[in-house]
Amino acid sequence: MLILSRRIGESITIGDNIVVTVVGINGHQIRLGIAAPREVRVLREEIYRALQAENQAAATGAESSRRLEDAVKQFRQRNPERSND
Amino acid sequence: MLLSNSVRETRSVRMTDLLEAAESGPQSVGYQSVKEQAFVFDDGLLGFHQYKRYQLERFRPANGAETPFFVLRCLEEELSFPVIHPAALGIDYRLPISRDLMNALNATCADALTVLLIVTVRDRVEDTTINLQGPLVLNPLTGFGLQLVIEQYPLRHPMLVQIEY
Repeated sequence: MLILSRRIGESITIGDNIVVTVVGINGHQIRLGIAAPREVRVLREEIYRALQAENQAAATGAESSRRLEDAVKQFRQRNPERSND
Repeated sequence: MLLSNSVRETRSVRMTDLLEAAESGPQSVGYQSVKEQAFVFDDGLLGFHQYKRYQLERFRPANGAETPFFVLRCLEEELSFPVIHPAALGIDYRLPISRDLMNALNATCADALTVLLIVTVRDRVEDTTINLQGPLVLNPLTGFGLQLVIEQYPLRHPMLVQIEY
């Protein structure tokens, strides 16, 4: 990992189009400003990881039909008054 | 795809408003009329960037019953995601529509867009949740789709009591 020291107001560039600026420091919290092209998705890492993991948990292979079918069955049993077929 | 710094430009649109608006026009994308069709996700889904081509299909249980579920099936790999429209869950789901989002989906009007939520079916079925944080936004007219990230929405919304048929 490349490690750089920066002061408030200083920036680093990543490639030609991304600039990360240290905007402020408050105790252990650092505020960063990020300028990037619109097609680059910028997310807090924990949000990105959680969404990735959730997609993986939702993704199903050959098992998908059976599991979803079980789920539908159980939902129906719990909500019989809403069932119309 | 969307950038976090473009959120400033967004306006909040109630999905139900979109659906009502869409029902009167020829570009109907209400959940009753979500169609089976192919979609291209140029950026894939989070964690699945390499897979771009999907087929949206109605979920059909073995007994042939109608269900509100769809399956987004990857055409490049043995991979699929159960999905559902928020209206089928009675959820008032508001989607921030930005110009970037419209551009990314090649959309000229917001009414043309629709949204599906990924269902995470868990080992204990009653633990099944809906991902409100990473909705799939689709343009049925162009066949483009993307996974949006709305940080302030819950990642795991319990599904159990909302289901309607």
